[in-house]
Amino acid sequence: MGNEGNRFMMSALDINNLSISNKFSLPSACYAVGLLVIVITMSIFYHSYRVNSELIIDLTEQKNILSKFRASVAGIDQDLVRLVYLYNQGREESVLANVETLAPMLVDFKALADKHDFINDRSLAEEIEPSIEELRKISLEIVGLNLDNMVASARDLYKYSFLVRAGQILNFADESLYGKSDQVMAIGLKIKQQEVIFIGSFMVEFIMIFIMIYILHHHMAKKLVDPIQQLQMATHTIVDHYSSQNTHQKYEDFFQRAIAILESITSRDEIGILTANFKAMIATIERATHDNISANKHLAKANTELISTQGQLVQSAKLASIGEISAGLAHELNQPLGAIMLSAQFATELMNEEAIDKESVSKKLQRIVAQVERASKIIQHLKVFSRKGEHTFEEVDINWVIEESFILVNETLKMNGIKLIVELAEKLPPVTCDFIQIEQVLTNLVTNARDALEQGQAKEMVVRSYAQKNAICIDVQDNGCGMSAAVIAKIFDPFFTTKAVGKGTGLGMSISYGIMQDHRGELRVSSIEGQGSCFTISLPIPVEKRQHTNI
Amino acid sequence: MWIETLKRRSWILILFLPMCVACSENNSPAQLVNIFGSKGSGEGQFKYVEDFAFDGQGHVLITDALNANVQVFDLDGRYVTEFAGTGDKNQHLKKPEGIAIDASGNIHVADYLTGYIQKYSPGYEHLLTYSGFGPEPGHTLETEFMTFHPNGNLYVPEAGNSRISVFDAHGNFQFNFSHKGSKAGELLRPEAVKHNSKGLLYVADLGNHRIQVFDEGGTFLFTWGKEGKAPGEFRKPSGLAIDKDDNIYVAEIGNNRIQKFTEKGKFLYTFGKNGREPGEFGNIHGLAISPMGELYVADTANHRVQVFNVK
Repeated sequence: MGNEGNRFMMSALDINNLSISNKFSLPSACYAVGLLVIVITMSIFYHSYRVNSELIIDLTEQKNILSKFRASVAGIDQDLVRLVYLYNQGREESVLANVETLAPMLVDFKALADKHDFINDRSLAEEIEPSIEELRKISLEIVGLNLDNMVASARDLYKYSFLVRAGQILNFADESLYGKSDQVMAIGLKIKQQEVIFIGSFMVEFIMIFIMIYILHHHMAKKLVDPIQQLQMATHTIVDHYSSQNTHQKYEDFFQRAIAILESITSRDEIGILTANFKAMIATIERATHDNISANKHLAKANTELISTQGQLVQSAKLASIGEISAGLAHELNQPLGAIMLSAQFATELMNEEAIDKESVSKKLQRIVAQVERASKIIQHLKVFSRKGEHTFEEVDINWVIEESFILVNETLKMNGIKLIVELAEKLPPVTCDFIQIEQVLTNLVTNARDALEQGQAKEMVVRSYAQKNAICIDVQDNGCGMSAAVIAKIFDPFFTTKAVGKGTGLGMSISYGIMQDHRGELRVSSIEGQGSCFTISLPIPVEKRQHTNI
Repeated sequence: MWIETLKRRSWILILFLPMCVACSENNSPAQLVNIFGSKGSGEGQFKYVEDFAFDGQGHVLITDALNANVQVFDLDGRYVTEFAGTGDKNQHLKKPEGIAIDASGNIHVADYLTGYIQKYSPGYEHLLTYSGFGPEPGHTLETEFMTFHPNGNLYVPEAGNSRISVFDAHGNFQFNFSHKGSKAGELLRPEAVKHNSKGLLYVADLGNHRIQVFDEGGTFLFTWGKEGKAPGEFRKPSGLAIDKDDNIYVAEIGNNRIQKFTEKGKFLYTFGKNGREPGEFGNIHGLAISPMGELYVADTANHRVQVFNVK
């Protein structure tokens, strides 16, 4: 996999300009269009409903006008009959008033016809105008007549000409009314049909929009979720590899599988960027893993070497410490040997006497045996101490370890004129440790204290054991030369020594420190230059022992 | 595969269907060939177009009820002259509607309001006034679209008296027939009477929403139609025209359309609808077939004349 293809893309995401949000623009547009369509449908319906309602109102109004028209004509007729035949004077004003209402009513009628472009009404109303004018003329004429001297036939003629005009006007009213009721009913029906159409189209639009938006959303979600799922899979592949410690499969296979999954993501939005970055990350992880593995191999090798070297070192240090106490050891061994020598000489002399005092000889021999046992014990301990190799952790009494270690170092302290004060706390809980290693540490500390006391006057060394918090501690304290802060700072460094060349390896303290760390314990030092030092080792008390001891 | 093809074809069908409908509308048997006139009282303007008569000189004479005149146009719709008009003199008119030309070329114009029928020479000079206002025989009430029969008589429908009155070319009353009613042979406000080549009289029975047929003696023959909007039905039939093949054209005020029938009343086709666009009608009145065979339509509410080529 090429690094070029996996370049990491760092870009600040502008919340107002996200490719991913652009994906939502289509569904959003759909919402908007859907809303618009529904609003348009509703407004069309409302508009048409309003227009139709207005139409019905105006048609009704027209019918009312025409009814009034007829009423007016009938009123004139009645008045004229009374006027002409019954000499009912005083009807003139009523006739004139009624006559003058016709033209304004026609104007109203025409206005409504024009408003809705009722094409026939307007034309018919225009046609009737001359008849209305004729009616008016005749009515005025009759009203102005001197009826007293008029013969009946003349009256009939006037009345007849009025009736003809009135008939024409009533006929106009009939013709104009023609079809109006049908029209109103048709509009009513149309409104009902429109309602059905509206509800139908509204439902259809709603369902269509719903389906469209659902499909778009589904599509969108798929477009968004699919790459995320792929990403998840790729992540899983990598995580699986690390979590399962699946060592029999090559890590390259996992990476290649993850990359293959990522390659299948074609998104060009922020997820696309995320994927590219993810690829870059995987490439980086792979490189790091590769480096790690080779480094780990080196490290493992070095570690193995280190472990064996450390073992050798510990052994060397142990042997070196034996070397350091060898004078004391030699003296320690020499004493039983001297005693054996003397006892053997006494026994030989007793054997040469006449009367062999068997009891005395036996005492000497017993003393020899005792001394041999003593030497043998030392040698035996030395053997154990210097044994190389496997050490085992076991539960021991720390005071016993301290006493054991003094078998080897006791003599060297005596030789150097050091007064040893041992203060062992009683009833200490047992600790789990490799006692030979702890003994090595103690031997090392005691040897160091001995050396620190070399120039001293009242040479005193205190070794005490005690429990502190959750640990068992051993102090090795001297009143020797002490150490400066600079020395303390380096005391645990390997190859650091204040002793003369050839006298110390410089490894004792650092190895002791390592041993204590192996025991999850501590090695501390406090020292005042010119007054002495105190080294403390502490070993943790196993958790299960803590409750019992209650220290 | 064939399903795909079918689908594609159905799409094409759906696409072309409205176009085909449009085409079929364009291919209506009646083609609008001329339109003239506008609202007013000037030359070539109309207030209320009523009916037509064609003289032997290539002119169409058109009555206007509210301008109370007769305007003369050539057959291209160009204004030539006018005569009559309002006034108290003999030659003047109050509300002319019916117009017919006798064998001598004299022009007879019937006045709806006065009941008089005026006779003019082919040079538009007033010759005679006859008939009169009233219900008595020889008088007329609310005369409508009339015709000169080959027998030389003028047949005048009277809306006011719901009858047909017959005069000779000299204005002598001959007889009248039918009366107000809704039975076969009875009339209610007849709006037009026209004759065919066989001399049969076709009457637009406006109030009864039907066409009635009589012989020249006034004997009822047959009738067709009823009130309605469907083909073959009528709402207030007004103008009538009969072509040389004896096909009948009927205008309806109530439906603002023209229907064509055979001489026996078999429906052929219809055209036109309510409106102000060319080919649409308002308060449609008189119809007439020109010597060229074109149909003249009095589009009264739109103050114009529309001329159709009717096959």
